[in-house]
Amino acid sequence: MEEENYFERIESYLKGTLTKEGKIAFEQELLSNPKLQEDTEMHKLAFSAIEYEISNDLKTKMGSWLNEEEESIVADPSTFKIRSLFRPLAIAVSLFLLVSLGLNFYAHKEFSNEKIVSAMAPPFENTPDRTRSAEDRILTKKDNSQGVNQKDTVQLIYTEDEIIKIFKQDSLQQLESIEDPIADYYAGILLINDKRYSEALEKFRAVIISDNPDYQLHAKLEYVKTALLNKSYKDDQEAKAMLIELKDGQNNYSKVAAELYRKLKIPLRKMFIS
Amino acid sequence: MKLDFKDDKALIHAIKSGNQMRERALKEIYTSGKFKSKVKQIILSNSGNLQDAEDMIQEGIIVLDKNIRNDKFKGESSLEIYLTSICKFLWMNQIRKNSKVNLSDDFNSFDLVAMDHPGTVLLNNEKSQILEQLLDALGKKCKRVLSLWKLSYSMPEIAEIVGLSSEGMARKTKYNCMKKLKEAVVANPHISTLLKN
Repeated sequence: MEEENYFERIESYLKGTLTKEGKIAFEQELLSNPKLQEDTEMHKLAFSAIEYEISNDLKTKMGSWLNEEEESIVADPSTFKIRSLFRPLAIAVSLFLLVSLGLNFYAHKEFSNEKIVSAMAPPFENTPDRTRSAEDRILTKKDNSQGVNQKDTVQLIYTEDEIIKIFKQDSLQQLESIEDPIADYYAGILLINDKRYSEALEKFRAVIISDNPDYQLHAKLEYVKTALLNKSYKDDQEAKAMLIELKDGQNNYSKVAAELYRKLKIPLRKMFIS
Repeated sequence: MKLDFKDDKALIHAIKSGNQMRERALKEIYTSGKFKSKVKQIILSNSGNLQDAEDMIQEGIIVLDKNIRNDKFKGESSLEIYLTSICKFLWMNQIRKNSKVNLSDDFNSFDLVAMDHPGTVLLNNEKSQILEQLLDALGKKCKRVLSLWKLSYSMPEIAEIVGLSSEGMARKTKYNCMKKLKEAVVANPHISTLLKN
């Protein structure tokens, strides 16, 4: 019992639960008592080992929290018991959804670019000022290594309206020549219309890693939709994470993303059962 | 997502309290888009992918949890900024180790002093393996009891969670497990050296 109390005192010191007076007394004793020093050191090592276990446990838990996100949209165990009954129904519903998705795609294709812009362009509250004067629209780079300003690269900066105008003219080539995330975004939309989904995904990816927060969000939604059209969504962890992020985030697309997420429930369940 | 904690103060308090409240608070941090989005943006902008971002968030939360519980986080910044700083720090280490890419300007100017000592929990493989062996030798029950005790669970709570008959039994089990752990550390000087480092 005496030994137990002795060790408990060391543990309380290391856990920081001793009183102020208790702590001062312990530290004074520590200075003159080699046995206490040694035992305290040993407890510290034991604490490190326990912390390691706590970290491991937390990591496992985070893994399960992440899985919960996906599991919440996949069938619960009872689904398996009745899968034989509902398999034909599940197939029918999946087919229906696939057809709907296809129809939706063709309907989307029928849209003029003008309509796509008006239907999809969000109210960008934080769009940076891109309405600079013509004189200002030459970007110069400083060559610091030579200690002089040098116009080594000249790149026209396009306003958002100008980029949209080019987009409406279906000029993919011109959009691709502009180094701007907004141009990448609209190039991605044109590539979808051409069914060049993999290239469209690359364009949206470029927007996502850019520094334009408004278009990043929009590009994430388009990325998910394109991954669905490209049939790569199932294996695309990034697309899944983006959809969940959009759904749970406070943004203009959380409602749209939640609806898309909800619609994906049935195909995902089908995949899981299969 | 429904938030259980109204602000950083409530989250920190819950983490410090250990017990089940800690787990709820950490889950909220981990699953909240608010905490994740900035980290993702940073990792994606510095040659990482979403899986890298996910890994860094997990490692970052482990450091955050440990630093809050051990009073190393002084509350001089918001939890969001703190977690982002930790993840930045961890990712910087990772990419430097792999010499994968040039860091962005934002990364190169990253100031460690601005952080409340994030510390590193990334253990080398050797240390991890030895700790795994040490803890495995203790047995599942001992690992659980010691972890719960370190996380400030009360003895009656530990007894209930682990399935021990009484508070007294929980106390006795914890004492014996701690003794066993210390003996294992003493018996293996290599472990002591690794843990000291």
